[in-house]
Amino acid sequence: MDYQFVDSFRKPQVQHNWFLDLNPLSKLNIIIILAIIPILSHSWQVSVAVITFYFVLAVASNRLKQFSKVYVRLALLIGSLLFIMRAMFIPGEDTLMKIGFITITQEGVDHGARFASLVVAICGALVFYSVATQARDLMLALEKKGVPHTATYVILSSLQSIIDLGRMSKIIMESQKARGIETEGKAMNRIKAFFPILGPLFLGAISNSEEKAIAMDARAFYAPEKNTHLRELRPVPMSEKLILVIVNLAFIAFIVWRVIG
Amino acid sequence: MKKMNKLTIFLIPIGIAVNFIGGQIALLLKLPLYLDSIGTITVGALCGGIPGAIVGAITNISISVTNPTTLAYIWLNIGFGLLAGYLSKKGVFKKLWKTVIAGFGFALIGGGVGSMITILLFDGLGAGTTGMITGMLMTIGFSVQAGAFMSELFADLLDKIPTLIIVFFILKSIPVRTLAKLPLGHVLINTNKLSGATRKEA
Repeated sequence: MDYQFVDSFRKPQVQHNWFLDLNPLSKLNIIIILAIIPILSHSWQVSVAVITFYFVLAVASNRLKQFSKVYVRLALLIGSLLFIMRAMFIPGEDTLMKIGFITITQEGVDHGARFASLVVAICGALVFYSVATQARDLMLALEKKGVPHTATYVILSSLQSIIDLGRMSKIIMESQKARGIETEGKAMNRIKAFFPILGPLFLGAISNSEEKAIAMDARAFYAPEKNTHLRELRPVPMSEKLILVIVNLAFIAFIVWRVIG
Repeated sequence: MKKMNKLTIFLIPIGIAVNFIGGQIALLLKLPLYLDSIGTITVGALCGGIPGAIVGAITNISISVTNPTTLAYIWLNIGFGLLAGYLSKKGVFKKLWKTVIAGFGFALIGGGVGSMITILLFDGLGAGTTGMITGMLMTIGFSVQAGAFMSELFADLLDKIPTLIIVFFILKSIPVRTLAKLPLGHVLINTNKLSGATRKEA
């Protein structure tokens, strides 16, 4: 095996980027704050500013390609749907346009813009966090904070299972097609095709999980001892703690200002 | 999680994955259904309400990465899991007709709680086809609440009854030796058939 790969486990694996290397929980803290700001401020300008900030962060952390690949499509889809729906159906006084039985009003457009940008901004928080953090890092950080290892195992294992079963479902689909089960055509045929694909998939997975339980039991999965880890997280440096304190204080000041003002 | 049945811990990830894949297969086959709570209901029926609810919760959290509005509807999937566990304890999943009737219960959670969430968070106009229907109903003259409730109850009924039929047949096909190891397996094992088989052997 590659010596370099083995050696990389001897010290915390870092990606040499100031944002990506932050502790997963610190990142979570910052992202949650970014998601709450547009909820509190109620204006589309703030939401757009936060959305722009995600792109800036994505550039700064070298994740622009992955982030925009998911986010742009999602934002356009959800944002436009929410906006059009509100623009079309929310009643108001100030009529802008009349198409058939649909009346577009100024109130509807305003409300639509505000709401759609808010939802898109919150979506940005989720998408950006998933792009900037590896699930295993987050789980390791949670485990260090006292979350039981069975819980983190369940989450990591389900992410893996989705990939595994997804691959399996394609294989089953192909083989059922080869056996003559119609997966196209009339609606009834397509409904009938659902059973022979999902059935073997699910039942196979259940019987596999039985074997997995025995195998994991043999590897002392249920041992009450604290378990050890192959990977380590970078110890949190002083500067990171300082940044977090400043960000959180600024956020609290923002809330106080909103409540008083 | 300490007291949880050992097999349950390994079935939860499977349930989550099946929720995902079920939805994907439905998309691939171009079915007009979601079919994305099969895993939740099956795990709820096999292992009890709490594991079912965990499956539902984690499913919605993971889907939210690609479609964040689903995060708002996390309570639905939790409710499905809890209801499945409760109904399973009552032995509902042993008979097909009872299972189909149970579909109305699930649809009531889906339509009732779902439309409540839509009204609270999205003012009744969600991003999707049901939101479209709600909008149409509103222009006809229904209130937002009635429109959202009607469109979501209808969509959910159309989805939950096929889901439950699939769950019923999957539960039926799980071998007895696996059922025996699961918390609620004893309810699902058909004892008449079992004793009949042993008598035949004897």
